[in-house]
Formats: sequence, structure tokens, C-alpha cells
Amino acid sequence: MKQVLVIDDSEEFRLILNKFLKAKFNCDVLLAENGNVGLELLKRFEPNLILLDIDMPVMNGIEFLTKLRSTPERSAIPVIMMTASKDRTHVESSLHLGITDYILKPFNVNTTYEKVLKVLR
Amino acid sequence: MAVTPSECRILIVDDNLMNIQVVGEMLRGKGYKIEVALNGYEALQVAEKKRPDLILLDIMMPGMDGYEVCDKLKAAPSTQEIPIIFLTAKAETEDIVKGFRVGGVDYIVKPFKKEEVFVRIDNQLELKKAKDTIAQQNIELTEANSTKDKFISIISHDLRNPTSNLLSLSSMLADSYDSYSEEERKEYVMALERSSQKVYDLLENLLSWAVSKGGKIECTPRGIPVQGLLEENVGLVVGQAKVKGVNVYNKYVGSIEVFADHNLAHTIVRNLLTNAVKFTPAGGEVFTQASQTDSMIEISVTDTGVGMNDDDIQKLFRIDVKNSSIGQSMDKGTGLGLILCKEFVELQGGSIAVQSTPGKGTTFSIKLPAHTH
Repeated sequence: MKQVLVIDDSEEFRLILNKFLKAKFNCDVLLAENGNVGLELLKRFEPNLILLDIDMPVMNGIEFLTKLRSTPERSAIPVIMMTASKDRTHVESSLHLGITDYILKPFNVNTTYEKVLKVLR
Repeated sequence: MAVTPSECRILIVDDNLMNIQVVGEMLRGKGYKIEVALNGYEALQVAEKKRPDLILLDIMMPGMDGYEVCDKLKAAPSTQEIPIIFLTAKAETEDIVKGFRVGGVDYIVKPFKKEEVFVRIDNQLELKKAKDTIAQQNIELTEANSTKDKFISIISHDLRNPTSNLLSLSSMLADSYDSYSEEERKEYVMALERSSQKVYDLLENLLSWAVSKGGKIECTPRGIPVQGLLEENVGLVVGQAKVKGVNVYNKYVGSIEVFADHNLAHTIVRNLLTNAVKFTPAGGEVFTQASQTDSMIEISVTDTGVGMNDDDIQKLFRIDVKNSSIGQSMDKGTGLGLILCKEFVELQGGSIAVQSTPGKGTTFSIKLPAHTH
């Protein structure tokens, strides 16, 4: 069974993605409310995909991504960035860190499905 | 920008009593308030204590001469803005140049003509008044700018996130409604309700604040029973707190009444309670309490939440500081609620205070005038 790690500070958004991923891809879902918790989970799991919010307290998405890329045994995990911000600089700085794709909030069912499918297929 | 002499205080510094008397009489006759100092040391003390609007400074004085006095006054933040006019018998060009170099704004050579002294003093006082006005306008502009920045930040970020959640939740529910169990649908609807409540609370604060900033806030104080005020607002947050596993209750039972505007008082208490619930983990509690001391009533909201350090507390009520505190379950606060509380409490002649210990909890206390029958 495929496994996806969702890192987002919004409780509602974690709920949405948890249900969505299980319903559409029948996969296992790990949930983290910030980058720190995400990194902790990565010590024990090796998910097939990380869905990562950019704007979070404690450790934001860019910081998380920087740390992830410098962790040899986890650095190759594909990451899809999620942001409510239309600020291109956020997306651009994450592109430098090798993200696979990005999703703009609010969440669009079809677009998200296609983007996740590309990675999990 | 004309000045009114009776509103201006001038310090005359001269070691010659006769000179002080002549200049003093002359200025007093015109309506100015006068302070005097007979030497440099005294001048520094009087300037510090009385903060005159202008200083007439002799140069040749024993102990500390006028240049040194000027130098010291210009070095001290509390006196550096006071204009200094040298009034002296030293008439050489190099003396005059030195006077300007150490920070004097004008230089009058004795013997002087009365009218010349008046016009030079008036010029400097007008300049100072204009400078003070600009400085005040700068403070107001900076605040207005911070207010605008806060509005933009709230609309672009804090409002966008919960709105985006609302849209995402409803689109998700609509997309796969039939495939969900009854329980899952209920979960969605509850999440929708929480998100809607967040958007509504934020909008309500934003609108109250906009009205307040536009100077159009209505404040009609009357007697409000405190027990009812607390119980009603506890009732509003108790459901949301229960979902989170936080127990909210009111401890105060009694008949005291605050003299406050009904809407403003409710906004204040609601915000303090919502905030307390937001920053309290599951298993914690939030309670309200009230007491009366003389003519003031103190209402407090205490939580057993995450608490704050001194640095966080300093930033709490500041509009110009981005204070997106992190609550339990990673709730983020805009900080707008507390800024509103402070403005509304002060508008009604009250005050707000906070006591907090990191990891243990926080108490916000507001003081409002008591209603006397």
C-alpha cells in the first residue's frame, strides 16, 4: 500500500486530505501539523509522497524542504507543495529545492487528483 | 504658524543678574513664561526639569561656558530638540561660527535691539512648533500605515486560509458525497461549521476594528450585570471548547454592574474567551471571574494554556508587530482580537493587563468603571 505524508497546520485541511487520499488512492496517510512533526515521522516511515504546506508556524514548508533534501536516506521523496498564497516567490524558492509539483488552495478535487496520481502511479 | 507667548516657556541663562532682569522683564512683558539659570550647571538642570521651548544662552560664564552647555544639551535626548539662541557680547566671526557649530540656531550680539530679539525668538518658536507638528503627524502616519498593513495582512493571509478551507471542504464533500458514510459526512459538516465560525469571528473583529479606526464607533455606556455578561459569552464558546476538550465556566456570582457599552463589552469578553480557548490544550480549563474595587470592576479570563514569555507579552497589543502566535493544535492568531479589546476597554475609561507563565497559563484582566445606581 502506498503511503502519503501530509504536513499542514490547518486541522480542517488535514482532515480533507486524509479523506481524499484514502478515498481516491486507497493509501495510508500520515498527518503532521508542522515541519518538525513531519521530520520526526520520517525517522520511522518512508512515504511515497509528501504533500507540504508552505506557510506554517514552528517550521515552515521551505525550512522543512531544506532539511529533507539534506537527509540522504529521505532526500529523494517526491514533494508536492501546497499554498494559499499566489506569491510566486514562495513557489519559486521551493522549485529550487526540487519540488515535483504544487497545488494552489483552495483545494480543487480534479487538479489535486491528477497531480497526486502522477506521483503515485 | 503663529505662536502664543503665554504657551511658551523660555529659559534665560546668564551669570549676570542684571542681564537676566532686563531680558526677563522684556520677555515677560510680551507674555512669555520665564525660567532662569545663573550658570551652566543650573542651566542643564532647569532645562531637564522644565523642558523650555527655547533657551537664551550667554557664552562667557565661569565654570562651564555657553558652548559647553549647548554641547551637553544637544547630546542629551531629552533636551536636544530645544532651540538655543546665543545672546552674548562676543561678536567675533569665529565666536559666532562656533556658536552655530555646537548646535545653536541663532546668535544675537549684545547690546541688542529689543525688536530684533523678539523677532528672532518668534522665528525659532514658530520653527519648533512646525517641527513638533510634523513629528506628531509622523507618529500618526506611522500608526495609520501599520493599521493599513495589518488590514492587508489579515485579508491576504489570515482570512484567506480559513476561507480556502471552507471551499476545499465543501468541494470535497460535494465531489464524493455518496461514497461517504453517515459518520464521515457528519465529520465534514462539523469541520465546515468550525471553519465557518473562524471566518465569521475574524470578519466580525475586522469590521468592528474598521469602524473603530474610522472613528465611528458607537459607545453608549449603561449598567450591564457582570454575571450575565460572563455567562452569556461563556455559553457562546462552550461548544467549540468542548470539541477541543477544554472546560469553560464562569466563577462569578453576584450583582455588580459595569458601566459600559453593551456591544463593546460583549466583544471584549468574547475575544478574551475565544483567545483563551484557542491557546489551551485538551484537558485544560478556562474560567471567568469578577470583583469590584472602589469605582472599578475587574473582569478576568484565566486559562491553563500554553502561556507566554515576556517578549510575547510586549508584542501583544502592538499593531505594528506581526504576532501570529501559535496556539494549541497549531491555531494561529491574528492578534487583532486583543488589539480590539485594548482599544475598546480604553475607549470606555478602562485598562487591560496580562499575567502569564509559559507552560502554565495566562490571565487577562480588564478594568471598567462600575455602574452606580
